[in-house]
Amino acid sequence: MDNNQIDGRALILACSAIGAGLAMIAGIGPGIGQGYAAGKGAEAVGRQPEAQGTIMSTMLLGAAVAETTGIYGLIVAIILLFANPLITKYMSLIG
Amino acid sequence: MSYFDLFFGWMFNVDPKALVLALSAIGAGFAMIAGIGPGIGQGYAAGKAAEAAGANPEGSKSATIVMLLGAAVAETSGIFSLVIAIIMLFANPLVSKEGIGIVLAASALGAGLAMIAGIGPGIGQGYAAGKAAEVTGKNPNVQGTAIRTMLIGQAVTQTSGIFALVIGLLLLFANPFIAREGVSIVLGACGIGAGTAMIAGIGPGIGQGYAAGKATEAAGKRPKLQGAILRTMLLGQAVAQTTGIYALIISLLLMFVQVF
Repeated sequence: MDNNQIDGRALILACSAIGAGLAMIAGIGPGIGQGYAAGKGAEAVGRQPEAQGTIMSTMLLGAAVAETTGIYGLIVAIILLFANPLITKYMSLIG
Repeated sequence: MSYFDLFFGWMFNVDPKALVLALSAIGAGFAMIAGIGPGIGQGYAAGKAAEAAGANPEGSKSATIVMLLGAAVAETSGIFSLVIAIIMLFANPLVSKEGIGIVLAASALGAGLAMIAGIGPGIGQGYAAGKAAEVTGKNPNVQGTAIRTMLIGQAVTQTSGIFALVIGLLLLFANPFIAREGVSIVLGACGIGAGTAMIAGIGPGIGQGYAAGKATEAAGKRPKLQGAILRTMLLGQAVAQTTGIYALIISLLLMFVQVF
């Protein structure tokens, strides 16, 4: 097979790789947000060290929620890489 | 061989079904970029709640509840994007349609691009949630007022995210380009353009969310003025929506009116 030939399967795989990469750009958000939460948490502990437990649990709870969209992006990327439904669909379409 | 053939020629030779599925993969990736918004917004809310818990540990429970409620609303646009991505991956409506491959493929890409608008509402609603948690933490008695103001503001903030979702769903399920006569590369580009235009929704989303946050803060400090505060907020938010509506008009023009 000629490696420079574009067939349907190769194109889907190539674009899946690009799509998986693009999906991960979502990581910008949780990074910024959780960093802000961590900063404010540290600030609060510095002001009131005896409330450290409460502050930490509130911060971690909120940061866990902020993580969700990053995980969504990761799931879509992993689906594209390891369980690509588009290739399956294509194979069933061309028979 | 012209540059045009070099860049686009292969698209006409490759199997059209493969082209649609391939660009759906890129579109799904684009859609997920919206996750930036809820990530930043919810993180801000978490930070404000943690700060409130430190400043006034008695108010930390009320502040946490308000933070979680606001963060759940801020998640909406992330979930919209996830839904569009999942539809394109597992139940792709375009691949089974009869049409020109390059046009359908471009529509899939456009649907993904439109969803990037979700960054705006995500950041904005998260900011509002953070301000609500802050004001509730200081004075747990104003929790009800803070939640009401926050939810009204967040609802308006969602508008541009819903516009983007509508355009994304139209491109996928009620694609106007299939029945349209025209040069395929132009029709395809109209699909990509219609989606790209919706990215403008980031701006109104962030701006309206900022207004919602400040209104929540003000209403929490002086609950008696809630009516006047809400009116000012809604007026400002309506003005902030304009650019999002311009984008929607251009997007609908590209889709349903033969401008070229």
